[in-house]
Amino acid sequence: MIQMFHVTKRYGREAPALADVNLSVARGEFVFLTGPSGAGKTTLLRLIFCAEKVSSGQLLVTGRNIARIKEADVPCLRRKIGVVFQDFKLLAGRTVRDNVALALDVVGAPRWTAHRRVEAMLKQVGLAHKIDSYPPRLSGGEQQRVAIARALVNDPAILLADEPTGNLDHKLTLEIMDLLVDFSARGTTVLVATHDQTLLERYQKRTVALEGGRVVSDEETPRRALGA
Amino acid sequence: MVKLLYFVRAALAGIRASPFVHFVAALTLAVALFSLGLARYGYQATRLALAAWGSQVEVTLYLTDATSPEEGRALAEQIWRADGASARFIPREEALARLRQELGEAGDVLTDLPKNPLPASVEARLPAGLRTSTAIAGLAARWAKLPGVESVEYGREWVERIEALGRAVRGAGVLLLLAVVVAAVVVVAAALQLAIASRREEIEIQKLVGATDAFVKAPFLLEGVFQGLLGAALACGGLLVLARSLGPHLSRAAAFVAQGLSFPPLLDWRSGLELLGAGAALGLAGSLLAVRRFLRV
Repeated sequence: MIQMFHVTKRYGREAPALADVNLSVARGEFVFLTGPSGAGKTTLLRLIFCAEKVSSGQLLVTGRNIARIKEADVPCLRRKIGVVFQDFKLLAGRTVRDNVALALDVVGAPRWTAHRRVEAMLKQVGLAHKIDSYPPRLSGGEQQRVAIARALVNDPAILLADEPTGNLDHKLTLEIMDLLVDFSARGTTVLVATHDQTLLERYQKRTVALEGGRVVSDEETPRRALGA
Repeated sequence: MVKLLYFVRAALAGIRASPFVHFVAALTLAVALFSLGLARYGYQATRLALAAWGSQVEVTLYLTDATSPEEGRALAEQIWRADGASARFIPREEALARLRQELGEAGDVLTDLPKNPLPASVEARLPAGLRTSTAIAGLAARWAKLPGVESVEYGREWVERIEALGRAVRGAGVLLLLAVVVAAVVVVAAALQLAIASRREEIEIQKLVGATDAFVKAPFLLEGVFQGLLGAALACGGLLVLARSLGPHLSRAAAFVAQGLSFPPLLDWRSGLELLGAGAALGLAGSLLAVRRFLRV
């Protein structure tokens, strides 16, 4: 699903944010990206959803080499990728329904289809009863679940989550992680960037550790703490 | 179709989100379009007045004494056929009778004249296309060479003044049009710049979930068009109110300017639709400018 061959990302003359990264993630796989702040976790995710361009190397996403992708083709690729952030990125003035429907609006889904899919998606994340609420009236965990619903309502092949539980307490963190693991089990490829060591130990998933922009370990189950 | 409905909803939502800014922009557009409507009407009325005056431009060909009435009539016929000017032969007797009439009581002095001093003539009224000073001068020079013609006269200064007035009105109209276009486009662009700034987060999220550039830009362009339409509708309302109160005065003014002249209504269906079209176009131009300059997607 995602393949990286000698991927390097530089910003100007500084040391590379990512250096010679080789990585392969299969369809439906759940992968933690971990490492200290500045290790390159966010940069790696941003390369995958084309928020940044690869400086050198090859990056294949859903079989397409996006190292050479044209600007006009980026939207099409992003519709196959859901993204979740630490700060949720929800529109405060729009209802939960409208926030989630945004991902369907951009693909031109008819309104009634969008309503049906939004309702179904919110049911899956346990927020059907909050459909007409506004984000500021929701808890942090609920807001993140709305963001996950928005990321997944289009049924993307890949879900990228950048520190999705960074703003949440332990109970809400587990709620969100359970949800992500659940979607992975249903076939969505999930990459979660986190420096929370307890999550790595609790969920026992493949963990790719980064340090100084380089992959320092890639293990099916984590053995030791890195960063954090 | 689904996307168009989405764009319309998004544009209306954008206007609802910052109604004051959009209303001020629409009001400014309304003032600009109202002025444009008035200027357009003024231009039309002036053109009609000038045309009415221009239709009174007459070229007189004075004939030699040796020219017989038959030759004079043939000359009038020739001018009509060759140049499309409605020409009429005026015998010497008719010329004298006219002069007598014009002099009124003082005309009696003409009775004692031993001989009619006035020459026969041909009076030509020119078609609309030949009422320019250059065309008239050309015709006069050519007609002066026709057999039997002694001299040719026309109100050269009068024609040139009418032309100069027409040029001034046209120039003022073009300047006003330019000022209105620039002002309207800048105002709409400024309003949309604020709208774009206030929705930066929304744009970022739209891009994140796979929106194309066109998808992001379309609602802003529609917002500009809606602003333009609202401004034009307000301008039409203003012109309608003015037409109701000024209508009778305008009819009197037209009759005073030239006999038989009547001005068109200040606002009719056609000019209303033209104003709406102009409003939409100006709104679109302003929003295009704003989207190009301020929307980085």
